[in-house]
Amino acid sequence: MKARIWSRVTPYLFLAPALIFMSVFTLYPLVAVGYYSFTEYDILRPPTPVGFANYQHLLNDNVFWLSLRNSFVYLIVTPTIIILSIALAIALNRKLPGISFFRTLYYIPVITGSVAIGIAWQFLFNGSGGPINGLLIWLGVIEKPIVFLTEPDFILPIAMLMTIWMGVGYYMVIFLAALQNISEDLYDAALIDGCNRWQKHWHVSIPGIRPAIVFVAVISSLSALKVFDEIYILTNATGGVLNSGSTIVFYLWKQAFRLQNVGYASAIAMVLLIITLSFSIINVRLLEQRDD
Amino acid sequence: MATIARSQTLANRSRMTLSSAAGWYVVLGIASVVTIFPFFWLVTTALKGPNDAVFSFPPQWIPYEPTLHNFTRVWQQITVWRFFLNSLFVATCTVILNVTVSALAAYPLAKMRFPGRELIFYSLLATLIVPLELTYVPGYILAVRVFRYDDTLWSLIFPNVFSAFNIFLLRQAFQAVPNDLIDAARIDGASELRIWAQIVLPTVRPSLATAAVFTGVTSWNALLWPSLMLRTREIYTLPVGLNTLRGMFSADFRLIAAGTIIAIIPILIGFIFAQRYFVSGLSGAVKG
Amino acid sequence: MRRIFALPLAIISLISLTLSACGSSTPQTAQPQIVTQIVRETQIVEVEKTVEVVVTPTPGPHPEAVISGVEEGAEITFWTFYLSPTFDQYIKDTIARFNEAYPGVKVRWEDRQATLQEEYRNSLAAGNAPDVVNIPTDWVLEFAQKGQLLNMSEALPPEVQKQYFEGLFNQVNVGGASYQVPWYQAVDGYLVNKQLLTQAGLTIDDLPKTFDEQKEFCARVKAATGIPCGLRLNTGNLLQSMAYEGNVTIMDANGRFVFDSPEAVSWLQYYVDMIKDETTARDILLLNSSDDRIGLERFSAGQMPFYVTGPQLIRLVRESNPGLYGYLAMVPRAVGRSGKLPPVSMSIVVSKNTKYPRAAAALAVFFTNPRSMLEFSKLVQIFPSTPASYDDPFFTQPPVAIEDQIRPIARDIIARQSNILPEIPRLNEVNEIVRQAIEAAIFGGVPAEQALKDAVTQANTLIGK
Repeated sequence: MKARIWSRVTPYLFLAPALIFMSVFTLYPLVAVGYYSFTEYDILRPPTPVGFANYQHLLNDNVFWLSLRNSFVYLIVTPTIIILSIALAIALNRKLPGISFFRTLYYIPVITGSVAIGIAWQFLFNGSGGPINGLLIWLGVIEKPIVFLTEPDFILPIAMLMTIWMGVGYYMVIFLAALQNISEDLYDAALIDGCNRWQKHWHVSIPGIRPAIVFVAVISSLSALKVFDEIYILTNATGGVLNSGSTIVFYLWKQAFRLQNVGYASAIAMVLLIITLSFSIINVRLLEQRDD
Repeated sequence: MATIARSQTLANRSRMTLSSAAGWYVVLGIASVVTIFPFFWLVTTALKGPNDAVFSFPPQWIPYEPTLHNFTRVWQQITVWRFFLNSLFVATCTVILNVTVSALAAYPLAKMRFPGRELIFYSLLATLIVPLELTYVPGYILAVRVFRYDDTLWSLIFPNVFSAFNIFLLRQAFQAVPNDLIDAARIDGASELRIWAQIVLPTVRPSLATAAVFTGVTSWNALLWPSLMLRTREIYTLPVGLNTLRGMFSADFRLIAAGTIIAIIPILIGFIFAQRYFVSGLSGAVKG
Repeated sequence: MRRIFALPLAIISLISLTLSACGSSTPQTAQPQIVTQIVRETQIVEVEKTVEVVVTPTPGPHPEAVISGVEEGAEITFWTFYLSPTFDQYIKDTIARFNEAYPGVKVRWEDRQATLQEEYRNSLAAGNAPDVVNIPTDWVLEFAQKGQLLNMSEALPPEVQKQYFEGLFNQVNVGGASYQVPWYQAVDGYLVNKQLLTQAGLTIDDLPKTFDEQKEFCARVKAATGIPCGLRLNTGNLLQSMAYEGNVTIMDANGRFVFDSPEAVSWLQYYVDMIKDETTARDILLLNSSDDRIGLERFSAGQMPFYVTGPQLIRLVRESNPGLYGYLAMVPRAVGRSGKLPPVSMSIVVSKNTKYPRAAAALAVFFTNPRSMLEFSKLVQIFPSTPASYDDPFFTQPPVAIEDQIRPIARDIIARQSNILPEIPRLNEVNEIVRQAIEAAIFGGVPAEQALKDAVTQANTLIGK
């Protein structure tokens, strides 16, 4: 009898820790943010309900729409990273002496962390004598140094460059493993059919790693939408001149923790939720289609 | 016909390898330069003496008076090693707790039948949609008012124990474990916990490694949440500490560069030794 | 002392009385006889002796202990801003002196750097804020308006309040009350690179004395050497820069914002033009105040003719570029159209929810009293907020080093520093609006008038006018 009760309860016991943590750290915050989005709250004093005021303000807020736009523009990173990392993976997928050295090397940006790299980036693009300016002047592309990090048009591309640079090594490893799963016979068959080197990759490699591509696309696009670290570090936490570098998460953070508008920030968070929800649905649909 | 073609392609392949090897090295070399260049610049800046210009036209690539003085100054003024240890502690605890909890939760979802299984499964799926950043604001209030663990390292660990992603990853791995093994053990009278620990877990080690690597790297590089939580310098993690360092020495880039180098050297060393696990761990994600 | 002897004395006299009474009872006979009897008698002999006695006088009030009712066994935390490690000894010594005046109060001191503002905010939200905090005076409004600070006008006795320059004590009042005590003042001036001046064919006398002269000067230097100026606005309170430099009225009598006036447009246009003509550096103009050392680094690298900063930061230039040190000079900065200079001031505040308000107030007042201020001034080129300090010969001596050139005239400058800004509600958010307007005009090509008009509308909506 005891054994029966025990076996009934066991699954729930296994699940309990995860469910408890989930309730406290994911479900409760979800509800709380929903609630706060209808209040004005500065943490120091109790929240005051204001109905839909925050959402109305969002509609008229230029910086919010700019941040939204920037986050979507940031999605360009995803296809870029995928192409570059696949190319690199293909390059590394051969038996050359020392190949594993290169593989390790390209992974280094992934583990050094965004702060160290952000600092290095600020050095590189420094407007009063950084090497990028030096290079461009030496090549004759520009005459005077550009103060990159104060040019509204440059901040987002520079941040995106940083994301790409940091991410290529990470995804390359995933693609490399996927490539190594493709059997040689497929390549042989392609060669027999008369494919040259490049067509072989197009017809065999790429389709062969399709699951990995989908996986990487999902992860990469979701983190592109939620980018924060690069902006925080490159713009010294200001969001850039004219808020040109501001993204949704950055704007959320700024409203909540710089301007103490927790209610408004919560409204932004709800918008973020709707976006990630839509994206996930789209991704799932695409997955289903592809698998047909 | 096929065999002739086969040997031809084999011959072709070896010819290609010889002649284009140099070409590939060039390509990889260029990619390496691009990868290493920012670090190279950090190193040269860190070694520059007080009379070497940090920023100038044309850029000064090599220091004329190389010195290790910047490193000693940073080392004395800010305890970068402590940041490293803090990050290590947080990452280790997070990984252990997270993977354990996820593996526990994944097991019944994969290998047991019980009422409410579908409901729980879809709830977990739903939480995948909730972005982590959304939880920061209420999480902050929770940390500060309810749990009162703000300004401690635990505030970095507990919120990251639950991960629906890891649960699904492990569930997939568990599903691949043959049922016969498990049924046999059940018949023998082993408790589910024992089966889980001694039979199932060892079988899915690659996936566990994957989950551990993902979680560990995420924890190691986290910046936003730790900078919200940590106030006492002694318990800063590496990203937060580096950021502070940048503010402390903003008048002298050589010191910032030196500090950054000090911060990333241990990681690099650790990575070179442990790279096998990283790489195999990530490839496990794809296979699984 | 007498009490101790009183009782035995009484007993002895009682006993002797009793004894003498008993001793003299004899049987009743006719003729008195003289009988020899042995009588026990205790005789008190008064002897004058010189004795060494240890006298501990009751402690009179310590001259520097001006706050009464300090809690016994108080433990308070004190945060300072960017003072470690250079001034470790001074702070520790002053705390030791504090403990002589107020024994029994334990002070825990921590220094904070670039992240102080956030950390203080976070700790207030957490409910474990430090009791006493050193913050730039610019930040006081934010915390005072949210009701997080101790009201100094109420908490301090009037004699104590008088120890400060009145203009400084009341710099940032909220609702007519002061929520801070002024600590050390910096006198910002032009830190000048004489080498660059010579290169441009100019001398120290050519340096601009007014806001408008400044624009011409920068244009001249740029034309001669190709090097722009490094002007910087007060990003923490842009309306302050507007008011002092542009002589702009920020709010009208009804509390509405009116900073889209012609004076304001003219002020903004000044900067728009300078950036367009590249006579001042793009990335320095709106540098965060916590990043202002970046500007200093650029100056140290010889990339601007002058930088507005305080003499106390010259030591950083010396560390960064020792070769430049010999070519430095410190002169008064150009005065804005308002004819006044903004105070560059550090304050000490007390968190309202401190467990030990009296002890915290005592520490705040102690660190800012004339003696503490004088000793601090002897270490570094900052200036006291207390008139009494200036009576010391230290301030009347003629200066020697570059850093000290402002010292003799400092008292006058500081006495005249006062606040011409009204109390601005929701300062952080209004500042953000103004910042965006300035960026739009300077970097985004929006006409200055338009940008300011939009900003005024937004700001007024924000405060509900």
